[in-house]
Amino acid sequence: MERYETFRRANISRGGVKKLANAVLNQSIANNVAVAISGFSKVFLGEVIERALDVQRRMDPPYPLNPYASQKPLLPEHIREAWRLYKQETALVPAAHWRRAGGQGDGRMFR
Amino acid sequence: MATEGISRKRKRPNLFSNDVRALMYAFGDVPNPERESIAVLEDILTDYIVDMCHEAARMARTTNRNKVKVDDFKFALRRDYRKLGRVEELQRLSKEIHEARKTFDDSEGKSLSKSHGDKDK
Repeated sequence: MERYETFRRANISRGGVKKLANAVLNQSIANNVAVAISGFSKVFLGEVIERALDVQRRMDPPYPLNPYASQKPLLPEHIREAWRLYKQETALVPAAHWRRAGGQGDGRMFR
Repeated sequence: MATEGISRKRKRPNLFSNDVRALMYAFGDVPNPERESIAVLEDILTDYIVDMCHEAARMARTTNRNKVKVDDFKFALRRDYRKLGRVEELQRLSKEIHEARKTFDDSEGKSLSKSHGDKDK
Protein backbone atom coordinates (compact mmCIF):
# COMPACT_ATOMS: atom_id res chain seq x y z
CA MET A 1 0.00 0.00 0.00
CA GLU A 2 2.86 2.30 0.78
CA ARG A 3 4.28 1.74 -2.67
CA TYR A 4 0.98 2.82 -4.19
CA GLU A 5 0.89 5.86 -1.94
CA THR A 6 4.38 6.78 -3.09
CA PHE A 7 3.37 6.15 -6.69
CA ARG A 8 0.48 8.57 -6.39
CA ARG A 9 2.26 11.29 -4.47
CA ALA A 10 5.79 11.31 -5.82
CA ASN A 11 6.53 13.49 -8.78
CA ILE A 12 9.32 15.37 -10.45
CA SER A 13 9.45 18.64 -8.53
CA ARG A 14 8.15 21.62 -10.47
CA GLY A 15 10.93 23.87 -9.11
CA GLY A 16 13.67 21.59 -10.43
CA VAL A 17 11.95 21.36 -13.79
CA LYS A 18 11.68 25.12 -14.00
CA LYS A 19 15.35 25.56 -13.15
CA LEU A 20 16.40 23.10 -15.81
CA ALA A 21 14.04 24.27 -18.56
CA ASN A 22 14.72 27.94 -17.90
CA ALA A 23 18.44 27.33 -18.19
CA VAL A 24 18.14 25.27 -21.38
CA LEU A 25 15.76 27.61 -23.19
CA ASN A 26 16.97 30.87 -21.70
CA GLN A 27 13.43 31.92 -20.90
CA SER A 28 11.12 31.79 -17.96
CA ILE A 29 8.71 28.97 -18.73
CA ALA A 30 5.05 29.18 -17.75
CA ASN A 31 3.69 27.25 -14.79
CA ASN A 32 1.50 24.97 -16.84
CA VAL A 33 4.49 24.09 -19.02
CA ALA A 34 6.40 23.03 -15.91
CA VAL A 35 3.41 20.97 -14.80
CA ALA A 36 3.27 19.28 -18.20
CA ILE A 37 6.99 18.48 -18.21
CA SER A 38 6.87 17.17 -14.67
CA GLY A 39 3.90 15.00 -15.68
CA PHE A 40 5.35 13.29 -18.69
CA SER A 41 8.75 12.97 -16.99
CA LYS A 42 7.14 10.79 -14.37
CA VAL A 43 5.63 8.59 -17.09
CA PHE A 44 9.02 8.42 -18.78
CA LEU A 45 10.77 7.35 -15.58
CA GLY A 46 8.14 4.68 -15.05
CA GLU A 47 8.73 3.27 -18.51
CA VAL A 48 12.49 3.09 -18.02
CA ILE A 49 12.28 1.65 -14.51
CA GLU A 50 9.83 -1.05 -15.56
CA ARG A 51 12.07 -1.97 -18.44
CA ALA A 52 15.04 -2.07 -16.05
CA LEU A 53 13.16 -4.51 -13.82
CA ASP A 54 12.61 -6.71 -16.89
CA VAL A 55 16.30 -6.55 -17.69
CA GLN A 56 17.12 -7.44 -14.11
CA ARG A 57 14.80 -10.42 -14.21
CA ARG A 58 16.39 -11.63 -17.44
CA MET A 59 19.96 -11.14 -16.25
CA ASP A 60 19.41 -12.63 -12.83
CA PRO A 61 16.36 -14.90 -12.86
CA PRO A 62 14.78 -15.24 -9.41
CA TYR A 63 14.80 -18.77 -8.03
CA PRO A 64 11.13 -19.83 -8.38
CA LEU A 65 11.09 -22.25 -5.43
CA ASN A 66 12.39 -19.78 -2.89
CA PRO A 67 9.53 -17.48 -1.92
CA TYR A 68 11.59 -15.85 0.80
CA ALA A 69 14.27 -14.47 -1.46
CA SER A 70 14.29 -10.73 -0.96
CA GLN A 71 14.22 -8.44 -3.93
CA LYS A 72 17.57 -7.23 -5.19
CA PRO A 73 18.05 -3.54 -5.93
CA LEU A 74 18.33 -2.26 -9.47
CA LEU A 75 21.92 -1.72 -10.58
CA PRO A 76 23.27 0.88 -13.01
CA GLU A 77 23.90 -1.82 -15.62
CA HIS A 78 20.20 -2.73 -15.59
CA ILE A 79 19.20 0.87 -16.03
CA ARG A 80 21.71 1.56 -18.80
CA GLU A 81 20.62 -1.52 -20.70
CA ALA A 82 16.98 -0.53 -20.22
CA TRP A 83 17.70 2.93 -21.56
CA ARG A 84 19.53 1.48 -24.56
CA LEU A 85 16.59 -0.82 -25.31
CA TYR A 86 14.13 2.02 -24.81
CA LYS A 87 15.88 4.18 -27.36
CA GLN A 88 16.17 1.27 -29.75
CA GLU A 89 12.66 -0.11 -29.46
CA THR A 90 10.71 3.12 -29.35
CA ALA A 91 11.09 6.03 -31.71
CA LEU A 92 10.16 8.42 -28.95
CA VAL A 93 13.40 10.06 -27.91
CA PRO A 94 14.23 13.11 -29.99
CA ALA A 95 17.55 12.84 -31.79
CA ALA A 96 20.17 14.80 -29.97
CA HIS A 97 21.58 16.66 -32.95
CA TRP A 98 22.16 19.82 -31.01
CA ARG A 99 24.58 18.06 -28.68
CA ARG A 100 27.24 18.28 -31.33
CA ALA A 101 26.70 21.99 -31.59
CA GLY A 102 29.72 22.58 -29.40
CA GLY A 103 29.99 24.82 -26.40
CA GLN A 104 29.70 23.01 -23.12
CA GLY A 105 27.85 20.14 -24.73
CA ASP A 106 25.27 20.24 -22.00
CA GLY A 107 22.45 21.35 -24.25
CA ARG A 108 22.24 25.02 -23.39
CA MET A 109 21.04 26.99 -26.34
CA PHE A 110 22.50 30.25 -25.12
CA ARG A 111 25.79 30.40 -23.37
CA MET B 1 25.05 8.88 -24.35
CA ALA B 2 28.48 10.47 -24.36
CA THR B 3 28.30 11.74 -20.83
CA GLU B 4 27.71 8.39 -19.20
CA GLY B 5 31.34 7.44 -19.62
CA ILE B 6 33.74 6.40 -16.92
CA SER B 7 34.87 9.88 -15.94
CA ARG B 8 32.94 13.10 -15.82
CA LYS B 9 34.67 16.35 -16.53
CA ARG B 10 31.84 18.55 -15.33
CA LYS B 11 29.56 18.16 -12.38
CA ARG B 12 25.95 17.45 -13.28
CA PRO B 13 23.27 19.45 -11.51
CA ASN B 14 21.57 17.21 -8.94
CA LEU B 15 18.05 18.48 -9.22
CA PHE B 16 15.91 15.40 -8.82
CA SER B 17 17.71 12.89 -6.61
CA ASN B 18 14.99 12.58 -3.98
CA ASP B 19 12.23 12.52 -6.55
CA VAL B 20 13.99 9.83 -8.56
CA ARG B 21 14.57 7.76 -5.46
CA ALA B 22 10.88 7.89 -4.51
CA LEU B 23 9.78 7.08 -8.04
CA MET B 24 12.11 4.08 -8.26
CA TYR B 25 10.41 2.57 -5.24
CA ALA B 26 7.03 3.61 -6.63
CA PHE B 27 7.59 1.76 -9.90
CA GLY B 28 8.93 -1.45 -8.41
CA ASP B 29 12.45 -1.13 -7.06
CA VAL B 30 13.45 -1.84 -3.45
CA PRO B 31 12.49 0.78 -0.86
CA ASN B 32 16.12 1.99 -0.68
CA PRO B 33 17.53 2.03 -4.21
CA GLU B 34 21.24 1.99 -4.95
CA ARG B 35 22.84 5.42 -4.93
CA GLU B 36 24.61 4.82 -8.24
CA SER B 37 21.39 3.71 -9.87
CA ILE B 38 19.64 6.86 -8.74
CA ALA B 39 22.47 8.93 -10.22
CA VAL B 40 22.29 7.12 -13.57
CA LEU B 41 18.53 7.51 -13.77
CA GLU B 42 18.76 11.16 -12.85
CA ASP B 43 21.23 11.74 -15.66
CA ILE B 44 18.99 9.95 -18.13
CA LEU B 45 16.00 11.98 -16.97
CA THR B 46 17.86 15.28 -17.18
CA ASP B 47 19.03 14.50 -20.70
CA TYR B 48 15.51 13.51 -21.70
CA ILE B 49 13.97 16.71 -20.36
CA VAL B 50 16.65 18.78 -22.10
CA ASP B 51 16.01 16.96 -25.38
CA MET B 52 12.26 17.46 -25.08
CA CYS B 53 12.74 21.16 -24.35
CA HIS B 54 14.80 21.48 -27.51
CA GLU B 55 12.10 19.73 -29.51
CA ALA B 56 9.43 22.03 -28.11
CA ALA B 57 11.56 25.08 -28.82
CA ARG B 58 11.94 23.88 -32.39
CA MET B 59 8.15 23.68 -32.68
CA ALA B 60 7.77 27.18 -31.29
CA ARG B 61 10.36 28.56 -33.67
CA THR B 62 8.46 27.33 -36.73
CA THR B 63 5.65 29.71 -35.83
CA ASN B 64 8.06 32.53 -35.05
CA ARG B 65 7.46 32.29 -31.34
CA ASN B 66 10.12 32.62 -28.67
CA LYS B 67 8.23 31.33 -25.67
CA VAL B 68 7.35 27.68 -25.55
CA LYS B 69 3.79 26.64 -24.81
CA VAL B 70 2.28 23.38 -23.64
CA ASP B 71 1.06 22.84 -27.22
CA ASP B 72 4.66 22.68 -28.40
CA PHE B 73 5.32 19.83 -26.00
CA LYS B 74 2.10 18.14 -27.02
CA PHE B 75 3.18 18.21 -30.64
CA ALA B 76 6.61 16.88 -29.71
CA LEU B 77 4.83 14.02 -27.95
CA ARG B 78 2.41 13.38 -30.81
CA ARG B 79 3.67 9.82 -31.39
CA ASP B 80 3.85 8.96 -27.70
CA TYR B 81 0.28 8.23 -26.76
CA ARG B 82 1.03 7.50 -23.11
CA LYS B 83 2.81 10.74 -22.29
CA LEU B 84 0.54 12.77 -24.50
CA GLY B 85 -2.47 11.36 -22.67
CA ARG B 86 -0.91 12.26 -19.33
CA VAL B 87 -0.29 15.86 -20.41
CA GLU B 88 -3.88 16.18 -21.66
CA GLU B 89 -5.17 14.68 -18.43
CA LEU B 90 -3.17 17.17 -16.37
CA GLN B 91 -4.52 20.02 -18.49
CA ARG B 92 -8.08 18.83 -18.01
CA LEU B 93 -7.65 18.44 -14.24
CA SER B 94 -6.02 21.84 -13.91
CA LYS B 95 -8.95 23.38 -15.78
CA GLU B 96 -11.43 21.59 -13.49
CA ILE B 97 -9.63 22.85 -10.40
CA HIS B 98 -9.62 26.36 -11.83
CA GLU B 99 -13.34 26.20 -12.59
CA ALA B 100 -14.10 24.81 -9.15
CA ARG B 101 -12.15 27.63 -7.51
CA LYS B 102 -13.98 30.21 -9.56
CA THR B 103 -17.41 28.88 -8.53
CA PHE B 104 -16.27 28.78 -4.90
CA ASP B 105 -15.11 32.39 -4.99
CA ASP B 106 -18.31 33.56 -6.67
CA SER B 107 -20.56 31.91 -4.09
CA GLU B 108 -18.42 33.30 -1.26
CA GLY B 109 -18.76 36.81 -2.65
CA LYS B 110 -22.51 36.47 -3.06
CA SER B 111 -23.10 35.28 0.50
CA LEU B 112 -20.93 38.07 1.92
CA SER B 113 -22.71 40.80 0.00
CA LYS B 114 -26.08 39.48 1.15
CA SER B 115 -25.01 39.62 4.79
CA HIS B 116 -23.92 43.27 4.34
CA GLY B 117 -27.32 44.14 2.91
CA ASP B 118 -26.21 44.97 -0.64
CA LYS B 119 -24.51 48.20 0.42
CA ASP B 120 -21.91 48.03 -2.32
CA LYS B 121 -24.47 47.61 -5.08
